[in-house]
Order: sequence, then structure tokens, then C-alpha cells
Amino acid sequence: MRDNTTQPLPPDPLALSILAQVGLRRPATLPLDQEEQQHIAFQHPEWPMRLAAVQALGTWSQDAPLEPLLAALRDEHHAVRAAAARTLSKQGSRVPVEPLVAALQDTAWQVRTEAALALGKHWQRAPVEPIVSRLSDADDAVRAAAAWALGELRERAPIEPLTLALQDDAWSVREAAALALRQTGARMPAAALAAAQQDPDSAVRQAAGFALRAQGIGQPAPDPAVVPPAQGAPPAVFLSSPGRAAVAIISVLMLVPLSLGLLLSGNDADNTALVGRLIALGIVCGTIATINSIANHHSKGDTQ
Amino acid sequence: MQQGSPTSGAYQVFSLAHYYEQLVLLYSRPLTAFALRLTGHVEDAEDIVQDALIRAYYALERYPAERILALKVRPWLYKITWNTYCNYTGRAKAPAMLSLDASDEDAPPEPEEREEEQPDKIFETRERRQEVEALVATLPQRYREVITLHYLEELSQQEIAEMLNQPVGTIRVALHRGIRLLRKTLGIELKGGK
Repeated sequence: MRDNTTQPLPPDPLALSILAQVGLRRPATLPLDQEEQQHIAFQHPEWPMRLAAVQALGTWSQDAPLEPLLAALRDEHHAVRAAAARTLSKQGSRVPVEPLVAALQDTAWQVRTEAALALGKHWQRAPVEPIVSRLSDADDAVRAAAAWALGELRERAPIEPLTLALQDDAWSVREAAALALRQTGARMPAAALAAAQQDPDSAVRQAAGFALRAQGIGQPAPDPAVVPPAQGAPPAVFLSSPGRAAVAIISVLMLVPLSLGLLLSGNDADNTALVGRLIALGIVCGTIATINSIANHHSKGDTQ
Repeated sequence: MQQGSPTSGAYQVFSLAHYYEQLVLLYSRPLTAFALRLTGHVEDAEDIVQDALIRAYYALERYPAERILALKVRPWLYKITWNTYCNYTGRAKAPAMLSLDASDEDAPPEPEEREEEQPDKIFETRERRQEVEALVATLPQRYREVITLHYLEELSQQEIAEMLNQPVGTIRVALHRGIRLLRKTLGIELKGGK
């Protein structure tokens, strides 16, 4: 983000409305401690109150009552239906997928998108065909969400529809298809993704690159979880340079005969001579260690 | 965020909400100003930006962490807003640009583009900027959009080219001709004002 925009302005009503619609701000405050109050809120004539009621249930980890949420999927206002689909996506395996599949046919693109995303999150039980049919949705956000959901199916992900989606008119769908194909492992259509690397849109090219690199094609995929080694860090491979190997062999060959010569020669009864030979042996060892150290230093410099 | 999804990641769980909230708070106003320049109607502009930023959220929710980390947020948001504007108004995503001849595409600045008349100078002062913004609104659409994106929204020619799905050279020529037209209009206005 740009430096000149880092000072946040006071939130405007539009921003708050957007955040409320994606469930990041409550459009209204509701005391939902009691079952009766919840019931009242879900039946409230004002849709922001009903939206707030759905979003309040979304704060329950995985034990929100399903019945009001499933009913909210049929609410007259699309924001309430979309919020219901979103909340249902977080409620674990007890959520029936059929209402979410039905929501893929909703009149509002937000609800169809949320339903596709929710089915992607319930990937173990999500049916393939209804999601594939959304790849031809009129709205590009729905098509992109469908492509993502199909990718989440992994081994069940259909390759051909996703490959066709790489030709979609909308860059966001082509990008989503490329990212979804990354999930398909060895079945990934490498040629189609290689072609997508020539896409006019940089986001699509980048997504195709991510996918191909995930299969070891192209450069290694960057893993954000792993901190890259700092500049100047030692190379991971020991004796990677032939020069270092040669120095090590020469060191051993020099040290053994010199050590034997120094230790076996002379008179052991003469303590002064013995001390002298031990000092000489130390000097030899020190010299060899110094040569190795210098050679290693140069070798590191070569590998950086 | 999700029950055991293959791509569910700690990154999304812990930072997506905060990231998006910051993004909305930072960009809702500039994007609304941009949409307002395009549409000329406050309500339409707000509808477009609301739609665009919700689409942005759905995209972020789908994106793997490496995509989010690689994201250039500002041009990405403008691209989404542009697409939403096109869908909203039913206009073609790629504007009907001029037919270009190659010599014009590579043309150096014309002799009359002295320093005080160059585009950056035209938009420099606040008072003048407001005046020029009003004049930009009177330009033909194909010039108005690229001038707005480049000089008012400060997107690069490359970013505009990608957003409009046009070659960079086409954008450069449209900017060049748009500025020439703007300068001519500005000159006439100044003369008329004297």
C-alpha cells in the first residue's frame, strides 16, 4: 500500500456498510443472549436487524443453531441470505449441503458466490456437477468462486471444466481456474497452464506460474511459511565445491605422514626433544587448519 | 475459517479480516472519487465501489497466502472497480481506442510541450487540479478514462494497459492526444477568461 494513504481516515458510512455485508461489522447491535430475543431478531421487519442476527450466530464457533440459519437462506434480502450461507460454511459437518446447492441458483450474485465458497469449505461432501454448472454463471465472481470450490475438491476436481475456464473472458475467473488446477496434483494440465503463462493479464500469468511450480515445473514455488535464508548465510550443501574437497584430501595426506614422522623420530628419553616435536606437530596442524579455513572462505564467496 | 479444507491456512484465519478492513477504510473514499469521475453520479459511484470491494473480499478469501503476499493492492482494486463499472454501465471493458499509426505511438514530445505546459505541471497545483479535473470530465470518453487513471488516480501506463486490456503504446498515445486536447481546451479557456 502506498505511503501517502497509510493514515486511515474516519470510516465513512459506505465503508461500514461494506464491512457489515461481509460480516466484519455488525449492522446493528442485538442482545442475543436469550432464545426469545434471537427469534424476534430473525423475524424483524428491518433487514439490517435480521442480518445482525445471522452474523451474531456466526460468532458461535461450530454450534450455532442451524434451523434459523437455514431459514435465513430463504430471506427476502440478499445480504441476509449471503450472510446465512457464510455462517453455514463455518458450522462443520452437521450442515446439510443441499440448501447450499440450492443457493447456487439464487437470484443474487452475492448469495451464489457465498454458496459456492461454502461448498468449497464443505469439500468432502460437496457435489461436483452443481458447482461445475456455475462456471457458466453470468457473474464473474460466481464463476471464480465455483472454480475455487472445484479446486478444493482435489482428487475429485474435474480437470476439463477448469481447463476450459482458463479461457474465460474475465481475468478473475482465469486466475481462479489456474489456482484451482494447482490443487489437482499430478492430473494438472501442464500444457494449458504453460499457455496461461502467456495470458495478457499478469494475475493469470502469476497464478499459472504458481501452479506449475507446485508441480516442480519452472522455478521452485515460494513458500511464505518458510523464511528465506538471509544474504550471506552459509550454503546448505557441505563440500559442494570441488576445490574444498581437494583441500580436505590434501590436508589428510599431509597430516598423516608429517605426524608419523614427528612422533616416531628422535629419542623419547630426551624430554626437550619430545616437547619440541609436539610443538612442531601443533604448528603443522595449525597450518593445515588455516589453509582449510582460507579455502572454505573462498568457496563460500563463490557460491553466493 | 473452514473445517479442514485443504487450503485453509493460519494466514487467512488470523489476518484476512484485519487486512480487508484496513483496505476498505483506506480505499473506499479514493475508489468512490474514481467511480464518481467515471459516472458523474454519487449514488452510482457508491454502488459500484460497494460491489467492487465485496468482490475484492471474495477474491481475497479464495486467494492462497502467496497470492496475497504478491498482491499489488492499489492497481488490483482499481482493476476490480473498473470491471465493476463496466459491468454496471454495460460498457465494453476495453475502450474503443483510436486507430493508431506507429509513428504516433513512438512519437517524442512535441516541440510545444515546454516545461510549463507538460502534463504533470498542468495537474500540479490544487486550484489548477480542480479546474483541470472539471475540464477532464468534458473530454471524449476514450481520453477521459486514461487521463483520469494516469494523472488523477496515478496509475502507471503499464497498470492502465492491463486494466483496459490494451497495449502500453495505445495507452501512451491516448494520453498524449488527451493531454494535447486538454491543453488546447485550457488555452482557449484562459484566453476566453482574459
